[in-house]
Amino acid sequence: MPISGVLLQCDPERIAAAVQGVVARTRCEIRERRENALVVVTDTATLDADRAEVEALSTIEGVLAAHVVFSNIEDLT
Amino acid sequence: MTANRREFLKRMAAAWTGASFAALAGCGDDQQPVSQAILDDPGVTWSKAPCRFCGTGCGVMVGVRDGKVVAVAGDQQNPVNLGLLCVKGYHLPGILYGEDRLAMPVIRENGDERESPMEEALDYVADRFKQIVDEHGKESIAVYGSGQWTIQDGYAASKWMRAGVGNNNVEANARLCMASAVTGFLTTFGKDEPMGCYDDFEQGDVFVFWGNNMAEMHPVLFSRILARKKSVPAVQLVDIGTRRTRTTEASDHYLEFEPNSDLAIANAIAREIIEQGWVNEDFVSKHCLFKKASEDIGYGLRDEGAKQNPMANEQIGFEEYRRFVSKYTPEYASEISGVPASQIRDLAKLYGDPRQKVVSLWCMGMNQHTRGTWINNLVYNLHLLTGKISQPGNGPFSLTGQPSACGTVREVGTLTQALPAGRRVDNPEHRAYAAKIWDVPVESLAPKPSMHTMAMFRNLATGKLKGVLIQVTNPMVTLPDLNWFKEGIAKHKPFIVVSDVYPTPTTEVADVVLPAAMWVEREGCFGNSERRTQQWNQLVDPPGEALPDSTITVEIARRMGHGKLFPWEGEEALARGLYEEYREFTIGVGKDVALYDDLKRARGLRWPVVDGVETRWRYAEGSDPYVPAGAEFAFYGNHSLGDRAVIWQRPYQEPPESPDDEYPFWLATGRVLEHWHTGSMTRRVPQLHQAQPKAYVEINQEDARTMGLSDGASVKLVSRRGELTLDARVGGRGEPPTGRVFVPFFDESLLANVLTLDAHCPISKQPDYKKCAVRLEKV
Amino acid sequence: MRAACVVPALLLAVSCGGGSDLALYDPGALTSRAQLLDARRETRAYDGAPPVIPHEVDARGRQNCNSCHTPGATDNPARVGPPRSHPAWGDCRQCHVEQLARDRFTGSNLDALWWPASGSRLYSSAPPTIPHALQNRQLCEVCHIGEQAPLALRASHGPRDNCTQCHVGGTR
Repeated sequence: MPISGVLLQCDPERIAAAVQGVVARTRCEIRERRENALVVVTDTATLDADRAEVEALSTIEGVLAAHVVFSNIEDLT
Repeated sequence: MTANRREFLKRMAAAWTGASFAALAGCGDDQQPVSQAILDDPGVTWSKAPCRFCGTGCGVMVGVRDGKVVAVAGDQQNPVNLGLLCVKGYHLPGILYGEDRLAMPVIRENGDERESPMEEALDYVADRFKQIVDEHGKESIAVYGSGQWTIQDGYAASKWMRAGVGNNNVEANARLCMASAVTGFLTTFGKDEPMGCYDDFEQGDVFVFWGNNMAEMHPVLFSRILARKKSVPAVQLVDIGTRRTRTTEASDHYLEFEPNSDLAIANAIAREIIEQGWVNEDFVSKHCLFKKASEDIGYGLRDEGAKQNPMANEQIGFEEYRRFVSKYTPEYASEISGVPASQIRDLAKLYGDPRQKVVSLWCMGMNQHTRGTWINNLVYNLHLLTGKISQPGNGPFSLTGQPSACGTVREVGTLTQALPAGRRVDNPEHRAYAAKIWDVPVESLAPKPSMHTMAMFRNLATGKLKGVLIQVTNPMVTLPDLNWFKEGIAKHKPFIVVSDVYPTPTTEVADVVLPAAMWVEREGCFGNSERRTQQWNQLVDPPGEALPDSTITVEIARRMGHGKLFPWEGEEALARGLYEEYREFTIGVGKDVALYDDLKRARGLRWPVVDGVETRWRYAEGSDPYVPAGAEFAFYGNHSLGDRAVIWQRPYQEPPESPDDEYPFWLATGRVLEHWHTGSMTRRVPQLHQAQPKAYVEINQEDARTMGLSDGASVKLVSRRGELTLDARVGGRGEPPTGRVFVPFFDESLLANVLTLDAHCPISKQPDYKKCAVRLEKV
Repeated sequence: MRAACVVPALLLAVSCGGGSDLALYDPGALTSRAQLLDARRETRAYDGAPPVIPHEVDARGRQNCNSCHTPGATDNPARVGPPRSHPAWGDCRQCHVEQLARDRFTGSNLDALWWPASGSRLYSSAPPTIPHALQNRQLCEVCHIGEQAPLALRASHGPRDNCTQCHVGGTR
């Protein structure tokens, strides 16, 4: 089950909305919050779901870009 | 996976991702300094500078201790690279300290060789140049410089020769690397240099590489594209190449084409855009027009007869253009290129789909081409027909090879036909303007272009040109058909003065060798591919008697009686004075460069800089201050054409030399990641030398098998001009298809250019280093 | 100052699936910090430069460096792949290059920057300052915490969450 670390570059004026949007997603946790970025860890069932999660994060209101920085897929069968 | 391990991985994920934030912190915001801390060691001071190497223009923090460069780090505040460098950038400290660094001038006279103090050497050079001019006239000497000249170096050389000596014998090695890009821009847009900027890498949906190996040649920019693709997996990378490279390995699609057939492929995509109804008619009708020009233009060969004037042209209508391009069906282009028609159609779809933002990228594959100007025009056609230009992530991007081919050669105008800021010597108004700034009588400025680089070296090799000052470049390694030039120069013995930093095959043939200050051993400015002018201060002293190239030029000029042109005393005053005088030329003509003090503070600024604000996308309303409100787009370089860009009708034609029975292989030459150009700097860094110790020839695995060659076996390449024995590289990082080979040119003891052909684009005069015919012989 | 081309006797000829005679050193086996730092210096131009790849790599295709060099890539401490100390950039071999030769084109007079072997302490049991730069080295655990850390660099105390609460320096 892939675990990814995703950096969300956010608009500082709309970061609250970004936080709401991420919190609403059950496979994501916010691990760190900065003035214009969120550090999010995702935990999904498949590679496709992992990709889809990142795509979804990038479209949240207030998010300018989503960068996958870390990805562990060691227990994919 | 245990719950503990799961939690451990999540902590790692968070830690990593949080750490990467620092790399993005400086993103696109020059004005807000991020704490610039590299190392808590008071003995080391850190200062900014652009990298010495490629046209990317990465920002570097240079660590100096006890008067020496001891380390570098990526400059996290520089939006170009945000702290990332490539292997060459990380090894910059090493390039200053090779053991055989030139420190004292050398004079070779009457078979003798002696070291000489710099003052005497400069006296000697000035005397000899004066003698030559007295005897043979003012057209008898020349200066040949470089896209690695600083802005100050180029401006000093150009002013000396044009306003002092009174000729236009000013050329630079960018003629061999970017000239076709320049003429492509000028014929399509009326003004040089890209309309986009590096911000396009974070916005594009489709990145198309037209014959360039970006993974090795602009690695930090390629990393930005890879990061873009990682965050948006739907982004597509398309590699159009004549051999597989590291760029191919990272790409989603690969179109392998027959050399020269890029002309057909580009036309076929245009045809599809028209026939499938993907033309942005609003954009084309408002902002473009169509032209055709002479087609029997030859290849610039030495013994070629007269040809049509390649610039003679006439305007045509859309219907005539459409008829012309309609024969370039994907099937026809496939016959010529070997690329399956379906791939051509698929690529055309990406260009044509209005929802896909497309960035086309290219460098030497399209520029070092006997139809280089044409192929540049043809790729612009695709962006003009679809209106995909001058918008974020959507537009053509001509990548520059050298660190200041843009900033110096193209913007200052160190090519025979040029005056600063896009002006021309054969335009009386431009000459009058230059004469005013230079305070010389306008009659003293030569009114016509004299000789481009290949003509200059042909003239040196045939005795017509008697003297030359060569700076920061290595023509005795880089000229095509090298032996012809070496023999001619050895026979006619022109007076050759070379300033450089290490011994090279060019300093070998010099009558006087002058040691030059290198990179942060002197103050200077470079201009990179995205129009970003960057400045750096002197951080360490040069060795021995070495001087900056601009100082060498100015000192020679003073001794020849042209001191009035350079009224600045001292290195800092000279660096600032040359820049600020050059800057005057750039104001108000769409090339406005920033104030010197602003450059000192910023990590560079992208021109035109108007009221302190840089320009990201040119020709677009709201982004470019030169575009009037309501215009949407204005290609104001073509003011006489109603601010319209030109869509050129350009056919496919065959190259001057193709493989045949006697010479059945295509030869392409080029670079590798680890070495810069002719290796004179990078080979002196142990880690880079050991990574690529010598030149080789890449051979296709099947061809190798057929010839009984294994990796590392000796093989002789023979062309009509010379021969070269190399180690075979089979199964390496690059693989050509059967019938083609590739040789890198970084090795001065294995000179690839003894094989290449002296032919060039008749418009740009840029040679084609990518195509000639060779045969292989097992040794 | 150490010359850049001295080959220390401590390099072990351990190969990584390729039979190369360009040796790989095993940091796990070097128990003294001085030894470890000497060995490190052989693989880089100065401290802060990307180390060269000290083992053979497949020249063709995109080798998956991550399979050995990601922290947590393996639970097996016998597989020695120094974890990456910086976030994942897209293209490892843009910065890290193989070495195909051992000779020199010319000698080099580079006076390389080498970080001191350890930070300073106010008193003998005070937490030492960080003697190295933090750019590309923000992840302390990769070199200093747990089984992945070479013995000579391993922290004397268990993993705590916020190293820079006690260890300062590195950067101002």
